[in-house]
Amino acid sequence: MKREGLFKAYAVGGGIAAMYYFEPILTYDLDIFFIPSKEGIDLLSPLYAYLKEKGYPSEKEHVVIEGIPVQLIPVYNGLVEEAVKNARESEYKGVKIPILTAEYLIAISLQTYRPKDRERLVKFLEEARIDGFELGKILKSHGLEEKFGKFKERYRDG
Amino acid sequence: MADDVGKIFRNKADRRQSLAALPFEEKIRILVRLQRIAQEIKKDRRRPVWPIDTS
Repeated sequence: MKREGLFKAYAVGGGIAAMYYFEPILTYDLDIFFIPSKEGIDLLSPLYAYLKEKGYPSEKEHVVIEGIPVQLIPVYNGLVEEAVKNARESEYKGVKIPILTAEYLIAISLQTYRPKDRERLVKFLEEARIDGFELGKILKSHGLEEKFGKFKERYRDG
Repeated sequence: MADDVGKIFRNKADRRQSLAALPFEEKIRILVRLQRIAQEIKKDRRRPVWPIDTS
């Protein structure tokens, strides 16, 4: 899809990306964040149309690709766009795939801060290897340092 | 008693850390096994088991 010019860049995010850094958790969706090739209001229709042509119709907010529900999410702010641009190259069954880094996933979880994001933050703190310097830089540039400090305090207090 | 409980929690944390250190492909295999277990407990068409060979 990148070759076809449908988007500039993409990376795996969400639960699957988080699971790259901590223990396996039950999830069903594969979230793909992408940087659109063109600006516009309807960023998803061209992708859905392309995938439908390939035999992968959309079902509500997903496209089922080879039996896996995939959610395509256009980057919706500067942090997410930066995260996609700085994704790490990984490999699955010999196929190269970009995955959001643990540090950006933490920052995004702090920003969205739903109950499942807070659960993920705890798992990141307990299980993942984090580059503290890199994380500090990201949090500072997106105004999330204080929120992270408060979260850590609450986490330590149980 | 408190020592025993402390030891259980430490062992659980160690176990989670060793799972976190597994290769990504192995984690995906575990995920699919978890999806199968969940499907056996409660069938839900919106939550399909990924068609990935876990053998």
